[in-house]
Amino acid sequence: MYFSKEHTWVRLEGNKAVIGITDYAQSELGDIVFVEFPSEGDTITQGEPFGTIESVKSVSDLHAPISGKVTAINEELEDAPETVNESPYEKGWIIEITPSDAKGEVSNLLNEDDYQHYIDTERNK
Amino acid sequence: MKDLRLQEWRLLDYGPADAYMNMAIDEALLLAQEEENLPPTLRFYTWRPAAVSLGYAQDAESAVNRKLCLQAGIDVVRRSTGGRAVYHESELTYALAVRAANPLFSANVKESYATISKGLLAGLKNLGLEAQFASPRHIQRKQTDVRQKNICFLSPSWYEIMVEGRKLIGSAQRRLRGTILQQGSIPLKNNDKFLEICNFPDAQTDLMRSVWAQKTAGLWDYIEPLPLDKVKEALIRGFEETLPVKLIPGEFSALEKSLTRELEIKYRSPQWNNRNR
Repeated sequence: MYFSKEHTWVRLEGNKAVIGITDYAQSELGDIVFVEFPSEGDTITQGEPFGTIESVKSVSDLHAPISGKVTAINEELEDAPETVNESPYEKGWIIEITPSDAKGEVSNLLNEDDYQHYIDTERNK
Repeated sequence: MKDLRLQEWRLLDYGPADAYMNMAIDEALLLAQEEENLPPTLRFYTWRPAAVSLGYAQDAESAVNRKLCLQAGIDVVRRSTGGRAVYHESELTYALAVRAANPLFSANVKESYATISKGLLAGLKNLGLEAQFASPRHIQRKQTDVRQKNICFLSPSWYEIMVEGRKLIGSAQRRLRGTILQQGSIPLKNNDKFLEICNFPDAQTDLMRSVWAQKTAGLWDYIEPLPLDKVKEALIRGFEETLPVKLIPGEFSALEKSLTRELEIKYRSPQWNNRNR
């Protein structure tokens, strides 16, 4: 599992990748009320916005941790967006993609320890 | 250790403009914060003609009665910020554009609201009002009535400013990669005309009217009407008294002017405003 500085995670599962927001992100944003998804078939690009997530009174961009083509969106979040808060790494996944260059692009991401260090620095700034 | 040295913020004191221009300018301020080395910016403005602004993710069809709005000459615009429908007529609006890396702000949404609220509460105190920053303990997620879901002022008081239990200042945020835009609405007169353009059946409108009077307020409900300049002065002093900031009148940058021209096209377009969920 890899993490971005924009607080999204990606889990590589064979030839697909699952993407969501981190526990830190859901806690900082507050209760999630709406997720705006890309469409299946859309291309997303590492570091670029691919959708938005609205918590109570804040709309934030979702940034792609890696590039690829969207193959699935988590439709359960349409009726139960709070799942992102309750289970950010499992049931609260946001999209699934076919990565275009996972091996190359994960070198731009953080592992769990480095991400923890990154958010500890953010918290203490 | 946070760097809490005095910051110079830019003050943009604008007058009235239409809903589309107001939203275009605010988003230009947000985008420019990412691109240029600009100070945090506080903008004041008003709305002419009256308008309804919808939250970013709201369904355009169900939020308000578009036909009635058209007949009444009320503009309808979708914001880039979250939240629900807000009516803008007799009001002072503020917008703050700042980088999230600013030591006074953070990734935490509630904390950022709390920071801005400090300034607003002190500003209201300068006008003689005792207000509170409200954040509810209990979350009401499932609202069965879709019309109630749509109206900002009827929702629980998410990080809002209340006076005597009534909502006075409602605000909403938009966050990009490293920047924050917060827009807030300070009604002067508590105008329930808004309820007429919501999709309530007649019987419900009377009920909504009494709920509205209980739950919402305008500034002139509590103080004698003042020239708007006096209100702005009090709010500016409030920010300077409670936060390590100095507000300095400034100008739009060339980039902000050019962004505004592009964004005005977006905000005037049906594709943007008529989005359906």
